Amino acid sequence: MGTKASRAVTRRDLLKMSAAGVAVAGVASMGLPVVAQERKRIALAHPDRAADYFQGFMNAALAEAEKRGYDVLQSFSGMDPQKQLAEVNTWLAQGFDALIVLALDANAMAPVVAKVHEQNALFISYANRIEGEDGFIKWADRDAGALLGAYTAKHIKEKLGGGGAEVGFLTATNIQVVTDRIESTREAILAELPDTKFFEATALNAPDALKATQSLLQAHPAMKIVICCTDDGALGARSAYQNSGLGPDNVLIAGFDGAKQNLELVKARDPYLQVSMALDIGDIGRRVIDIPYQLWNGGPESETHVLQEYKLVSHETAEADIDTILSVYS
Amino acid sequence: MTRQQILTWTQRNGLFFALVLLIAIFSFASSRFLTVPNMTVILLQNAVIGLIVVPGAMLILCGLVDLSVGSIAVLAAVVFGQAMDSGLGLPVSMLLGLGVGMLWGAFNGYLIAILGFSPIIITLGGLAGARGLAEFITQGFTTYGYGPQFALLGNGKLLGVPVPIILFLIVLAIGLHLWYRAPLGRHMIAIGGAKDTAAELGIPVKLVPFWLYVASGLASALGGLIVASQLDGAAVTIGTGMELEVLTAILLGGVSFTGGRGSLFGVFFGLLFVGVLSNGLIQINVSPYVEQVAIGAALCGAAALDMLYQRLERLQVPVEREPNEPVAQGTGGSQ
Repeated sequence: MGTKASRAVTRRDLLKMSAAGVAVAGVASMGLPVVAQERKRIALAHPDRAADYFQGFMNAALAEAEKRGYDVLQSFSGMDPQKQLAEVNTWLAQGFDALIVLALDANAMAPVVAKVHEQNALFISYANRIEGEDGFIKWADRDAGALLGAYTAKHIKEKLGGGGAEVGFLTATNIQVVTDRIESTREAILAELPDTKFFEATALNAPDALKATQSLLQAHPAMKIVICCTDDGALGARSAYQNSGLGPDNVLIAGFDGAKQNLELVKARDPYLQVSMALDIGDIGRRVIDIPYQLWNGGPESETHVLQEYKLVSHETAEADIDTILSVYS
Repeated sequence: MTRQQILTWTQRNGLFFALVLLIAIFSFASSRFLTVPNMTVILLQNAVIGLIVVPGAMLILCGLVDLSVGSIAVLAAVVFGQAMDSGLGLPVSMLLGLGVGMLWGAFNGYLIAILGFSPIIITLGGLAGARGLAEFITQGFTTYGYGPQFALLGNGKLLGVPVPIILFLIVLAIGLHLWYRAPLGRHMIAIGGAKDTAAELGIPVKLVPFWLYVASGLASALGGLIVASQLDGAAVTIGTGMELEVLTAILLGGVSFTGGRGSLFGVFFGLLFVGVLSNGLIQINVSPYVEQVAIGAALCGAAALDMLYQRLERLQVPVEREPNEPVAQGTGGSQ
């Protein structure tokens, strides 16, 4: 009996303790969201975590979020449009106050705008535009291409004797940002030198660009110029030239983004890699957090609809200026 | 080699003729295609994939698969880069890079070959996990500038031949010996064709795949280090899509995905076919917008041609086996 009684007491005690635990947990869980709701949640769908500039971008974004008192949900979907959409839908179910998205497929992302607005949240486009957006930060890709095209034409005129030069493009046809960069560069070169010959290959990253440039150089050994749609690709093109046995005389390799290694090579006056079309990664990181802040606080349109210009960083750029751009990576 | 053997070989290797046809087309279209420097470039461009393809084909012959090769390659490159950055020196850093690849391969092998886990699930996990680990280690910052000694691995030459090509040819020679001359070749076919029967015959049905996974991890790591040497940087983009390139060469080469039959010569031709195609399309300046369509069409055409030859084989030529020949079917068998 004694044993049974003590068992019963024990069970009762356990039940009481469990009930108390559940009650405490319930109170705590009721209290926690109240605290969490005080900090706004910003979902940041920048899928290309492998990009060399990504960490600099995130450093700036997280610093700004800390300053404003926001929480940031980071993307892990990678460069797959379907995964990106699934991730955004998960965030929608979870709830957030603003979504900033570099849409890999702009058409697929369009219906998300309505869903975001149903939750009284903000939809902000990043890198490209989506209809119905509340704000955007768009890169001036076509302006950058025009700038690089003019620089390349000048290089051809001054160092390669003018017309008939061979120019290689490393591109990816399925990404709008990239095709804008390359097409506008081509147009700018053609505007000044209509008899320029262009050769294209698909390459977005360094290993692919290495192979593509090796093949291009076999077909066109006199080709002195390679324009890459990304800075990572430019590194692969540089390796191909370095190991081809061809001298660096008047070679011009250029890329887009303003990645750390490329900027350091330009700063060191590398004979092959001479240009990086640099975005101000620090400013972009800051603005992706600042745009929702401005929208919530009635800021001016100039602060919520932002066209981010590129800076042409070349051998002519002062080292101090390059250091300023590089500081975001520190 | 008798006339009969030559005829049998040609009928078993339809892809070889597809490759010859492709080379003829590109040679006609571009005067710079069929040159020694360009052929060297094609071999160089495919040497890294070739290294990984050899153990990869052996795994598929056993009815297994390794989808984690590209991620192991980048992980090895990143570990090497971080070790160099930490001042550990070239030999130790290279050993660490190769060791990580071998360890990951052993991990795959233990789970799949010894414990019987699904090869697709485990190596898909490796595909995501190893690359994720590489990204975590780098925290987005690529290390670079490893010095001229390490550059020899990717860019050096020995007797005028690029080092990656030499490494590939050594691995291929070892692979050909194991596949066609050593008992291991017959063991792999037996494991892939009828595992239970192979076990009853005393074939080590667990140990053979285990060591093949270790070899696959080591080859992937070596491939990653070669690319890091060529780029003089351990970018996290190394190895992206590598698993598909490896699978394409193996399957195009006629190795059955379910195991039990296949030819390493066929795999070699498959590797060259894809390499020649990529290089040739750039040589003739095909627009990137139609490049993928052209690659798809050419691969389907090559597969169809190979199938046609296999059917002709069944219709016309009675096969006489050599006493020591491995029991392979389809495009397989002694070459």
